[in-house]
Amino acid sequence: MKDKGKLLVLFLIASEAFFFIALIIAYVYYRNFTNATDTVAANLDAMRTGIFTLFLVGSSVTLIFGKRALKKGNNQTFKLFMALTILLGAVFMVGQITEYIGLYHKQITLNKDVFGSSFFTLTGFHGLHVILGIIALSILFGVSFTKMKPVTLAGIEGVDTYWHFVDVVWIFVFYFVYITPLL
Amino acid sequence: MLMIKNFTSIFWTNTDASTNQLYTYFGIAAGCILFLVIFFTYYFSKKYRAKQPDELPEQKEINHKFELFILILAICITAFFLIMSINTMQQIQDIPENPKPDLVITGHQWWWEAKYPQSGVLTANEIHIPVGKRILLEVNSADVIHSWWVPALGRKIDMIPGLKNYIWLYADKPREYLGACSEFCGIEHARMRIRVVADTEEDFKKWTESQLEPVITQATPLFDKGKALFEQKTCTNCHGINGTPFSENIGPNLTHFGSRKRFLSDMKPVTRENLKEWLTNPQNVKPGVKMPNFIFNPDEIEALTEYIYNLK
Amino acid sequence: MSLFIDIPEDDDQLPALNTGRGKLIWISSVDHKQLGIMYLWLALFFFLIGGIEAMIIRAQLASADNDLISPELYNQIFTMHGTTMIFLALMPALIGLATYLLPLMIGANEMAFPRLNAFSFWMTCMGGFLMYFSFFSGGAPDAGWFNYAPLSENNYSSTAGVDYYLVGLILTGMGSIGAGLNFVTTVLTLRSPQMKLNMLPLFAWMIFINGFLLLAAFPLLNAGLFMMLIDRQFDAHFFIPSTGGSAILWQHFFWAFGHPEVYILALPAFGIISEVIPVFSRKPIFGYKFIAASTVAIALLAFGVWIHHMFAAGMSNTVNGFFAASSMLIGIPTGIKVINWIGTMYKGSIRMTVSMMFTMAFLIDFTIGGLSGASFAIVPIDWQLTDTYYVVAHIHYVFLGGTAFGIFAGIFYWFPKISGRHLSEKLGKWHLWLFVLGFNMTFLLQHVLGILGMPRRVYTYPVDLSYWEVLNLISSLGAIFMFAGIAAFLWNIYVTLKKPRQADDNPWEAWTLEWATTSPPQLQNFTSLPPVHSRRPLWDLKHPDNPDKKLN
Ligand code: HEA
Ligand code: HEA
Ligand code: HEC
Ligand code: CUA
Ligand SMILES: [Cu+2]
Repeated sequence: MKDKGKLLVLFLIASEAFFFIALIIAYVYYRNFTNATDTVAANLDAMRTGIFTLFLVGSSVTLIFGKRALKKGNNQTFKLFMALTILLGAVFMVGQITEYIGLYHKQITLNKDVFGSSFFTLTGFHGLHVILGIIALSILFGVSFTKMKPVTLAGIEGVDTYWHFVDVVWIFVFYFVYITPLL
Repeated sequence: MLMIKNFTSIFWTNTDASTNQLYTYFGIAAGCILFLVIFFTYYFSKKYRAKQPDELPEQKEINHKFELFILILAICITAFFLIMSINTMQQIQDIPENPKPDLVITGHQWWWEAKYPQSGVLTANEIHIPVGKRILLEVNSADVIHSWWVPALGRKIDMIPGLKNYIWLYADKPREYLGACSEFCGIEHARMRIRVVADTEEDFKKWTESQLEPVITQATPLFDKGKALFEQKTCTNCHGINGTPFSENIGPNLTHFGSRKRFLSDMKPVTRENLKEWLTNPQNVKPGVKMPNFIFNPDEIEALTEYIYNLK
Repeated sequence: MSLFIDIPEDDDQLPALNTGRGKLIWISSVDHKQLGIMYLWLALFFFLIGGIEAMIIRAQLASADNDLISPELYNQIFTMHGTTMIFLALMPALIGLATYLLPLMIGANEMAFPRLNAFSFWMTCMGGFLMYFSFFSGGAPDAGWFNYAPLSENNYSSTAGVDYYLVGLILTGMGSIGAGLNFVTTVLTLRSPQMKLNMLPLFAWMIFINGFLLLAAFPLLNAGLFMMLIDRQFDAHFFIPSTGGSAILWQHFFWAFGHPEVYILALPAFGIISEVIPVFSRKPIFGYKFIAASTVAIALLAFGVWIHHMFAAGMSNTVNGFFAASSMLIGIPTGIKVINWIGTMYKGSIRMTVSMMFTMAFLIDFTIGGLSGASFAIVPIDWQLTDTYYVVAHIHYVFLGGTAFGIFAGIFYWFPKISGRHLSEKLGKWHLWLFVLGFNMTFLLQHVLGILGMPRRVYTYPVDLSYWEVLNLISSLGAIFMFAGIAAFLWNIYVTLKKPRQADDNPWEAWTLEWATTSPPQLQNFTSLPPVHSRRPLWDLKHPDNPDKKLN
């Protein structure tokens, strides 16, 4: 009964996974099952986004270290790693926003064509999840300066799982949107 | 008996025997299953009705053999129908690799455009086919999803914008066949009905030839006035007439309008009165229709009617 | 051995009932019983609205070339009828019963996440009212309950109706996901410690499985709805063929959700039937394991059949054949259930209460609906009958003859527990007979109408097609009987609620844990529980000499 919060997050992300699968399917469908040519892929910089992807993956790693520190009772290290996680997540978001701006200057927008629609919807919803994750992490980070209550610990368990999920989703998005056109 | 004959003659004659056979077999199987369910539900409820309020029967739970028997039986029934349906599907829907359609129908909100690629005939709403021949039909749509269904001629097929679908049509008797658009397509979906005229080989040839003839240029003054109005009141922005410079197909092609029996997707017979009523205010006749009300004066209506009615 | 065990429960979650806030307590409540009751009222409210819409439909179709209402209005009304009945009447009714009963059945005092529970309810409620607000803002959604693109896109549907549909369904959908999360976690974490999963009452079991269906199906719908909303609001092109999008993709998304959805509506009703039949036949359910396992089979298969709604869309024979097979397969586990229910009556001693009678009506009418469903799985038949009144008949046989009869059976069965009062059996019989007869009168002949070629979603039909008019007229007359039946039901609820509380804790001598507490239960459901060693703890308690087989 103690870990029902974690259970909730697990089921929630399972459900969210279906949401993202649907969005990814749309993208793949337009690319592979219609005779339209992908106008977005040519304008993407897989290298650059790959680097930002590393930041996001890195944030997952720092979070793991942070949790480990917390389990050992090492609160100071935990806070350090939390800060690092939030920072890395934020860097990723900055990367995504600058990418959007760049595309906008190339006149690639949501209403350009199906690939524009699909690209911005998919990455946009993912970005939204990253932002939510950052907010949740920041709240926990803030709270961790006060006395650690059991609720906080349960919260960390949940947000931790969620954050890894967001990370994994991005890896799939990255693969389908950025890598497959290059193959 | 009479009633059944009536049913079929009005609408439902399925020329394709294998589908009919499926109906029959399934009807029998479903009838038996349903009978058993009703019978046992009713019979048990009578037979095992509690006599005293606190009566307790034996607390028996399950009989594995029985469950197994049911499972196997159900699998057998299912397998039988699966094989039957796949066979029938392959019979009905055997479209060649590179289909060359005899007839192309495009669905519009709420009328049918018909093209005959072989002969080049272009018409609308009243569709002619030769009898005793399998016709390859290509369908697509100019706006939203429609669905072609003339039950007696073959299966139903959705008309999806951006896609081409194919089915076979087959008419065994020279008569008129009714059908309807079967996918909800907006306000006048209900009035998007189909009438297919199956002609004998000879009649069909004659019809094709008459459709290919140039439009009559009858020189009564009223006719000419109508013709002028037709061009000047922007009718030509939507309607095409072969042999004139106008070939838009936003509305039905009117080339041989006068030769059709019914118009507005089988809604009304072609008569002068109906045509006048239509031109007076289309929105009154078929509310929501994509043709504006032009607010003509009676003289103009008279002239337009004379013109369109005589396009034979 | 002590007869009762204490149940561990952190009671600081529970809100105080006597806070002096009066009726406001309902708005702020996180108690599963209060939320369950609110769900049920909401469902009843929308059922009446949907029912009145249905009456308008039947009035319009009663005669040929009728012009009682305009085509625009007709389209809005049938769209709202379908959407309301599915998302705002049947779903809340089933989720409401589940919210009320699930914790009681597994011996818990609350749902796992009471606040999430309240959130779910209010999302559903707000989504529903938002959708109805569209009537006051230029026009309700008018593209049918499955809202096919491109008819639902800006070019062809220019009022804001479809936007309301999209946002409303996204909200109720989120509510449903919340409910699904709660069901699953509640069953997994809050069961009475002795209760193993294979001892769950079947209703609880089916709600549990249903939770997974909710979690997997609604995200697919939400994804589609968001895409269409982005299409409509930000000029994207997902489902607009003329600008490169795909009309058929929407259908895939919708039905990949839509078919699981129909089982989301069926499974809880199956659960109710599985509770009611044994209790009124006075013997354990026949083949618990088969019923439980077939539920899982149905849930899994439900995600592999969606193309059967698109047989006429021009897919290849291979694809259609595959989905024909899966659709036929799903008939087998369902058939197993039907047969086990009838088997439970065999050699029982049956008490003919209204609840039991609704269950029997369910058995027969649901089988008709299931068989017409199975006939659709035969592709060549579907190629003829899809989008005709035959489909309308199928829908209503499974939804009304299936789910709604199940809900009525459940309401009559649990009403004493929920309100402490018995619904009148006499009025109940009026309700039952009027409704069942009217229902069959309305919808049985619609099979024939479909075969005669009447497409669905037509606001009128020409006069010169013989039998159409008389069949439609009979169908419309049947709806009047249904109306009268529902009126009897409303009257029944009204008179019963005016009576003082008189119901026993366990009036039907049932065996599951919800009957081990007071009627109605106190804010804290249980302070102690009987031991649970079998599927019928209260039976064991009452018949210590002849207990069920021990399962733990
Ligand atoms: C509660 C809801 C519910 C349920 C339970 C079902 C159950 C089934 N449905 Fe139905 N269905 C709908 C709700 C439901 N449906 C709705 C709402 C639509 C229309 C949507 C729309 O277009 O608006 C629809 C449409 C629909 C279609 C598409 C029709 C079309 O538009 O062309 C098909 C096609 O295959 C189908 C099939 C089935 C099958 C095979 C079952 C099976 O699960 C039925 C299984 C049950 C039985 C078979 C009876 C009992 C069995 C026995 C007694 C055993 C012996 C039987 C055999 C061995 C065959 N359904
Ligand atoms: C889910 C459940 C459900 C239920 C319960 C019903 C109930 C009814 N339905 Fe409906 N129906 C659908 C789901 C449902 N329907 C769906 C999904 C569609 C497809 C929509 C689409 O195509 O998009 C449909 C479509 C549909 C059509 C086809 C429309 C068309 O295609 O053009 C028809 C036509 O007869 C119909 C009729 C009825 C009738 C007569 C009832 C009756 O059983 C209703 C009985 C109820 C009442 C009669 C209410 C009584 C009210 C009172 C007593 C009020 C008292 C007054 C106050 C308190 C103010 N329904
Ligand atoms: C904006 C486009 C538009 C314009 C302009 C227009 N029409 Fe039409 N017309 C239509 C459409 C669309 C239909 C098909 C209506 C239906 O059946 O739903 C139609 C149908 C008709 C029909 C019946 C054809 C048939 O076979 O059913 C006639 C006759 C007709 N129009 C005449 C005219 C005349 C005369 C004018 C000019 C005064 C005119 N139209 C201008 C769009 C237009
Ligand atoms: Cu075209 Cu319905
Ligand atoms: Cu289905």
